[in-house]
Amino acid sequence: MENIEILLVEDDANDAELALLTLRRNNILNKIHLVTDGQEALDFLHCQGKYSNRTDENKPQLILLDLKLPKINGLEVLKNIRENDNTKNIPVAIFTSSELDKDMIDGYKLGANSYIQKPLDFTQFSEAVKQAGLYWSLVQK
Amino acid sequence: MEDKFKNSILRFINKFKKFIIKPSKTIPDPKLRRQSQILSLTSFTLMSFLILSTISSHIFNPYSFRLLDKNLLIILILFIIFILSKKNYIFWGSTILVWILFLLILYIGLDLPDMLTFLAVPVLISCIFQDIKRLSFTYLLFLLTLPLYSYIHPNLTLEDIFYGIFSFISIIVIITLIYKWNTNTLNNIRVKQFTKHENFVNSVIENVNEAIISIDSSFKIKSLNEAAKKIFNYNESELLDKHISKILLNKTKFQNIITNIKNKNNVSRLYGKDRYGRIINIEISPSKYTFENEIYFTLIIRDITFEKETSEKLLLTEQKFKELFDNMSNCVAIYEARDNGSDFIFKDFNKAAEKTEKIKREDIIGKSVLQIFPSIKKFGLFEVFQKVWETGKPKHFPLKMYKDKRIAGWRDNYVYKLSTGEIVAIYKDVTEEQQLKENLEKRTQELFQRVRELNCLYNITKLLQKTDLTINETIQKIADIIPKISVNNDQITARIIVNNQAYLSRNYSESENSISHTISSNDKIIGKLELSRLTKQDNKNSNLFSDNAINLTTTISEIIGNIVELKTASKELKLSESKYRKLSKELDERVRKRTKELKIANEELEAFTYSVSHDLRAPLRHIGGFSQIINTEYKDKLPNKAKTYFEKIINGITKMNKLIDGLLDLSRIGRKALTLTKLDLNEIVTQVVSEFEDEISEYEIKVIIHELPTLECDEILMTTVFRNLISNAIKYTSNTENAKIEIGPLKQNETGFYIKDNGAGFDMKYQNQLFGIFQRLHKAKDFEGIGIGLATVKRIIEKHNGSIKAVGKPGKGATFYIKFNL
Repeated sequence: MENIEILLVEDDANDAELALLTLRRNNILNKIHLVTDGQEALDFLHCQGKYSNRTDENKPQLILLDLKLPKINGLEVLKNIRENDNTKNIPVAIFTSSELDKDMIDGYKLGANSYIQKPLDFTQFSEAVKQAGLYWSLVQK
Repeated sequence: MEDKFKNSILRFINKFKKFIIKPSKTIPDPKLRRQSQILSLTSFTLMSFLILSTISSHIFNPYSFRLLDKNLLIILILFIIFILSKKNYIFWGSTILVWILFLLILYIGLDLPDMLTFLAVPVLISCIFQDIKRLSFTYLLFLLTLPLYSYIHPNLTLEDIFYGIFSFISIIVIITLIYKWNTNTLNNIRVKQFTKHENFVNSVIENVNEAIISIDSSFKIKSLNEAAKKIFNYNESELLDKHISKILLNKTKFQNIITNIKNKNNVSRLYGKDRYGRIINIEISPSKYTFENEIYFTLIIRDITFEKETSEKLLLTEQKFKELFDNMSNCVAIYEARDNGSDFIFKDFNKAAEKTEKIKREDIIGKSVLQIFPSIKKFGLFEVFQKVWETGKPKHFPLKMYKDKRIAGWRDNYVYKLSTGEIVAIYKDVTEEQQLKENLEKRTQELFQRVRELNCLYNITKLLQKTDLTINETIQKIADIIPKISVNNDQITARIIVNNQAYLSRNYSESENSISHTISSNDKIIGKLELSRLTKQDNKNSNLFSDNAINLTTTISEIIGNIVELKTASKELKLSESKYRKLSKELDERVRKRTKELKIANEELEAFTYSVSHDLRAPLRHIGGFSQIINTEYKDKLPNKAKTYFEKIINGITKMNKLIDGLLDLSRIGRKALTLTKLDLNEIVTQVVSEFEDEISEYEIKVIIHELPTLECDEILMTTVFRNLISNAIKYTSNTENAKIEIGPLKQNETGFYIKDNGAGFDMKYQNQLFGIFQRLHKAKDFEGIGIGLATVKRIIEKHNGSIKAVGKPGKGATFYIKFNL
């Protein structure tokens, strides 16, 4: 279970903390990696830049992706993930405060698996994980 | 002297012979005639013999008186026979009579020699006719007579018999000798005559032009002459014994002719044919004769083909001439000169001439030409008549106008002299042609004039298309074009006055002979067009303007009016056009600017909305999130009051979130385009009601849904409408007992629905505030709410081209009517 990793892409520290708190309080003990902008997210995923030490084997099992990101915005990151052979199969849940139709539709178009609204609600999170087919590997009961 | 005597004797003999031989004219049959001749000759000879023998016996034997009596009787009988032979009596009749007499004599008693002598007569006759039958009969009688005689005279001696036979024979010999002599003589005469006659006949037959053909009763050709061979082109041998139909057509007619042959001078016309099948017109005169008991016909045939053709041709020529004369279109008059050419009398006048001169032929024949055409001398034709009559040379009297009190017209005469000396005038009435020619020339002139006028009009009309010309230039050009309609000696010039300005054609000069027409533009007289005519030659007729010229003036005036109108209008148009263009350019710019501004504003608004939904919410979220964590994580360490305050913070944040959501919804409706689909409102209502299941059961609200219509609308927005309205209804009925919400369609003729509750209701005087943003009619503590829901509903309904109306009463519930104008 340990190698199951969640990549949280979130620039807002408060949001990130609240999300982490919620997940921990709900017994999600997996390794959760936080990146704060789009570029860092891509570096992490492609093992480049400051993550050049990483290996592909340790790629995350789930990405929680905020859409409003510095440097490279969330939709572009999503696009990159889906276009890259290494990453295209990783489930992505869009993690945003926006309820705008356009954002949601664009996200789904680009291959987002589900949608989680901030502040992270665990019920919603579980649902998203279930949809990604990762329920049993994430939620340990 | 001797000759004379001889001649007289011969004449006498001839006369005598004639007397004896010549048969009666009443005997028609030549055979009978001949028999009669012989009979008379024989009886006469016998008679004279008996007379002589009686006289001699009396001389030599004066005793034999008995003989004398007998002889006289026989002489008498012979004389009777002779007389009879001259009359038309049949031979047999006379012979029988003789036998009767013989029997009478026998009864009286005759000497054998006498008896035999007597008997010799019929024998002789039979011999002459070579009639075996009759001869045998006679000898039979003779043989019968012998026993009879021996019976009567039983004392007959051998001497008597010899004597009788001797007498018989001697008589026979004598008679034969006489006969022979007679016959020879007769024959000689006859042969001579006959030869002469035959020669004559032959020469006639062979030399006549008529074909002479004899045929037998079966119509077979028995003889024919030279002419017949010539006419029918056959050899004699080819025709002999051939049926007559070989050379004759009309067989039936020919038979009729033969049957009715009795009529003399019976000449019939028939058709024949020759060897080559050529049809010959023939005239046929038949006659009949008998030869050796056979009937023959002689046909005298005349070839009249040529005659007939000639006469027919002549007739035809006359007829043709007459027809030609009367039917020819030219007039023909035939005159006869009188008094050595000092007068000419009408001899004939054809129908064309009658028609042309309006005079009847019968009224003028025999009258003088001077009387009928009194002006003929003045006309000049009379002189030509005289000249032609004198010289015989034909003359042409060319086209000239003849006129007298009665008649007038153009005549073209040809005068000839006929071989008969008559003068013929062949002429033509060309008055009509002359008039036509004149008319044609006139029409051609007119047409040329029309062409010039039309050309002028065309050129003027073309000026209309030249937009670059000013009014002044255009009118001046028109003034220059008009003179082109001038003809030969007439110079037409023009003057156009428009708006007090005169435009003159190049060689304009004033003339008394002019026409003018006013020029109007927009129903106002603005000037006039004047056409003047300068005539070089003094031609009275050309001083007038034709109707066409007047029409032309009118048309050109109208065109000038139109040009002025058009040019003025186009000038104004150009002006207003440029103004318009400027204005529209300004407007365009303004619109572009405004659009740009709007776009920017819209973008800003978009950014604002986005930031509201993201950024404005983020701190709230954080406040709420951390407050929640404090309230749960540090529950035990916090004093109760702090806990209450945290709860208030969290409530506030929840409310604030809802407020932001509502505002965002509202603003989004304004910007979002409708996505219209056909929706069953029943489905939407059922779904929304199910969302509020918890509250409905909690407050025990009775929800009644009637059958709703299907509408074309935006699904998300319409769901928002129902969600707001239903949540409102639930909210305001939450404090009511026996709460009831009813949803149903509008009346039949309206499309839409209503939602009715029996909740808190509202005062109708606040009706207008109901749909305002952030407007609330109830206190927050009574009913939660942010005051955006109904504003959103109203905006959505209006976007669907509909309207919303609320009816209510405080404490008695409210009804919302939503109506769509389709």
